[in-house]
Amino acid sequence: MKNQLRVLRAQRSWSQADLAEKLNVSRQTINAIETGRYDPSLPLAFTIARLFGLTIEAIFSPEDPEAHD
Amino acid sequence: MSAPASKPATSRGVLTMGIAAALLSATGQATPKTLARLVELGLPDIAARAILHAAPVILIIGAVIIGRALGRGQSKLVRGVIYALCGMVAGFFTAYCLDLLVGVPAAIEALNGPLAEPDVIEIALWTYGAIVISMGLMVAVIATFGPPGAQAINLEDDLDPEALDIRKAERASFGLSAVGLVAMGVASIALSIARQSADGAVLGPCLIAIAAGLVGVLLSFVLWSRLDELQRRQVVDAYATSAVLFTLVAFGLVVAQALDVAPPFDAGAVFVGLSITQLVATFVATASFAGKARAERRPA
Repeated sequence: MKNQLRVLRAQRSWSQADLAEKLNVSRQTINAIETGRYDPSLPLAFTIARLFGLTIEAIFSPEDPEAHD
Repeated sequence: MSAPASKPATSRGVLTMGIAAALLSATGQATPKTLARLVELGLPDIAARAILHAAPVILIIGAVIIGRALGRGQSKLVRGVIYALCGMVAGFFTAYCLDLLVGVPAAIEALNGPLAEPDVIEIALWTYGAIVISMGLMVAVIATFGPPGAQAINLEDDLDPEALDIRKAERASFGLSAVGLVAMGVASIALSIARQSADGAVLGPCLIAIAAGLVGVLLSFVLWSRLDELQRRQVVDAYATSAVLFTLVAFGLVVAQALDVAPPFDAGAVFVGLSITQLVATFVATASFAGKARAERRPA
């Protein structure tokens, strides 16, 4: 899964620790999501989307979009 | 980006390890056989004792420095294995030089009566207990002092960024984890003492083991409730891995026992086997994840 988390976070000048605190998760989790090592659960993905005022699809997208057609 | 992650870190852990080794050496006394050999070689008794007290400190610092050199550029998992092997060699030679913590068995015997010589399982219980208590003390240092504490016990030039980013709010979890680890270590050692004690002196250590075990389990529940979803996944991965590993090891032991080449497989062996396997699996699960995450953070 690809995501725009790092870009969105940078646009707001938030550190990973800032974002972790807003989402009530560890900084390790933010780093893991940003580096693509971990795909968040649906509830966490919804929380992330709500925080940035976007839809989940605007933040997360599959590596191979055709696989989801 | 997270600024602290790029902060240069010093390897103060080598100095900390040297101080810890010196303190450990101070608790020991020269192994009689090794001392006798050195005296036979013509060394004065006092000089032989001084050598046997100094050698483990030099060996332990040497093992850390060799481990650092061999592990440079390797993954966290490989570095961990290298440190473990260097530690085993240093531990072997330390045991050759000194009987450590000589006052402890005497104090236990004064409280609870004589102890029988430990068998393999009891040595494993003592070893596991000592390892998790040491880990608990290290986590307690981080919980108390935060990033400076992590730096003080760090053995490498490159400190894990996670250790530098410990938020104050997370320190409480580290504190709970430290108490939980020490409690499980105490439980393990108390179980060994119960097994080594005479029939009339088993209840006391058993009660201590049960109380410490309950504290450990209770704190595990509290810690679980504080973990986020990634941390929970790491714990579950570690338990799943350890279940598979332990099943394989148990299978091998049953076969070995049927062939009469392994000692009886009792409840103590199951407990200590599972505990050690979980410890190793947790290390592998978190180390392998941290290694991958760190590798992906490196610039191309």
